[in-house]
Amino acid sequence: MIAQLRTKEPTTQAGTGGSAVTLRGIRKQFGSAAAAVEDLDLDVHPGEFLTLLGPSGCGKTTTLNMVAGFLTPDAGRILLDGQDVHQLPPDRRDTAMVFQQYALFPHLTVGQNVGYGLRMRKCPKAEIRERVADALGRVGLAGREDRLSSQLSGGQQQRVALARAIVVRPKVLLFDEPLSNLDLKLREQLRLEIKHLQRELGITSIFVTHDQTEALVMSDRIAVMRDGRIEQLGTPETIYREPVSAFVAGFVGQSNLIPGVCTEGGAGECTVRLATTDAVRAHQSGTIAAGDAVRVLLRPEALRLDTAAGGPSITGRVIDVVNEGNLATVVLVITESIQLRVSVSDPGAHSLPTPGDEATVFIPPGVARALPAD
Amino acid sequence: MRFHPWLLLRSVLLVLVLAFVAVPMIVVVWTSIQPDPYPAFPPSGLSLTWWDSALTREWLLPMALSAEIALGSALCALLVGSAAAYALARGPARGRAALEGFLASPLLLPEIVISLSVIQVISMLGARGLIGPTLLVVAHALIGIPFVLRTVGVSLLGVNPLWERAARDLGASAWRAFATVTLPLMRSGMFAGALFAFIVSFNNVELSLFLTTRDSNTLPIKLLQYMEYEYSPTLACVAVTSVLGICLITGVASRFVHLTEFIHGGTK
Repeated sequence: MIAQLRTKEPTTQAGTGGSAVTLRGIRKQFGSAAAAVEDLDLDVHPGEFLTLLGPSGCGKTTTLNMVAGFLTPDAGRILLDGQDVHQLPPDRRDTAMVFQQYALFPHLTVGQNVGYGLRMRKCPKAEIRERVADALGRVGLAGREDRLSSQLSGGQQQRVALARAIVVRPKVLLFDEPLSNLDLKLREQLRLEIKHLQRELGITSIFVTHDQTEALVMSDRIAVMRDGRIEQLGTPETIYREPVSAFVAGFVGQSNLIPGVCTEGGAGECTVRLATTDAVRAHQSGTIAAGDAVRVLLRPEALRLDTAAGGPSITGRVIDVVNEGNLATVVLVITESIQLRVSVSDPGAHSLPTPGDEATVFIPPGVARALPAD
Repeated sequence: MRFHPWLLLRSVLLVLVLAFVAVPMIVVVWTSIQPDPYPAFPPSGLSLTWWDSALTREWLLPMALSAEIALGSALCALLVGSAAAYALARGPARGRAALEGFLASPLLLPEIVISLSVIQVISMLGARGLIGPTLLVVAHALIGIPFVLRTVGVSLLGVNPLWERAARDLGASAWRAFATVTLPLMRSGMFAGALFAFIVSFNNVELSLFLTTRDSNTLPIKLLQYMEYEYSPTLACVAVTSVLGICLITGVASRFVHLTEFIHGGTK
């Protein structure tokens, strides 16, 4: 299947190749609680790296477990490569999962762990040895076959788990928050390694995380989930720049969400009177009509503290200045309930205000985005 | 070094406790290797004279029967106990404690009462012909199960259910996932449990009391009956032989599994 290294297919050709994973009308409820997953539709393109992003309890892990076969949906269909699998047990589905807690078999060596799936598939011994060595090499653990997993660090254990999953050449790789148990440095490093490996092998991947940075860095597309539904599905760029709701905007990236009222609707753009200041022109997704309550998204890095930028402005009192060297964040109080964060890149070149100062923030044209108020 | 009264007290206490445990064994061993019918202190010498009458068919046959019954009942207890421990560990939490208590209840009842009730049931069913080794295997399994339940339960505590899930995900059927992942990890618990079950069966008197026949006596029953009429250091020789046998099994077993882990209910 991937003996020859496929290059990643562009994610835009949705209609042509069909999808590697198809979820249709999936629903799952545990006991009498609210449904964990509700009427979920999703198409994962072949070779794509798709992330299910959301807070805990949003149904992302439940969805992943249904694709793997650990859970059976109450309703709906799951197709892998066009084949309906939702009645098949996990061992009859061509998926392989990388778990948050690594889940390596403690009584087996690294080599036996990685070769486990191949042994279950009754591969000849020589081929197993060869493929295990190859997989370990790909995750940077060449020659460690005879170690016990308990002798490895957390990062190495997760690499072994990754090798154990890719070695069977699954149709779909499933990642269940695989980096959450690792420290930041390792997490950042493994993000890139997983991404490179996935691209190199061209394996369709579904990645579950609550870490928005992880999602933005790794994904071809992100599905932001909330309360068992997909709130928005799109490229990281789209999710970041054109969130469809205050929830998505708040979950992905730093954001200021200022309440306001739309005074003039329109196609793609509207005018909003902010609770804090004069009217701004804002892009919109969906329909917003005059009189609607909205929240206006202003990303901290899009706002300016210098007058040269022009545009509508908001004045407030500085309460905090956090200087990280290459980036500073200025926090202002506008009204009692509204704070505004402004990022200043290369703060050394600018004079930053000090806490207690009055400061005016300018909203350059085109950066404001109106979102329906929840 | 400064004299420390507490340290002395502690040492004395330790010696006393160890002696308390060791004395019966020492007396038995000593009795078996001295010449007097009623051993006296100080011993009058060393002699293996009693061993001639101990290592005869009269004693070796019951010993072999006891070993067979113990082996059979240990296997039964192992099978049922392991399955129950797995079900308790992986099944729903509701009623777990109740079921566990129920399976361990034969340990709470005086064994002589169990023995009586078994004989009652057998009589009611008109199946007194069953009395003998086969019935003993079944009855002894009853008191072996709680041991297996406990030791296998302890080793299952160290087995993350996620491992079996990972195995399923990698293409193992439910049975193979169990056989290749969970089973190897509960093996030492199974071994320890089976060994305990073997020993409680091998040494059992009360349960066996009403369930043996004249020509199928287990070793402990034979010892009991013998002692009712006479006393001879031969008994000590027989006891030493069976203790040596069990020590040998335990010694061999502990080379493969950590048995002590299960005695203090250790966690891995």
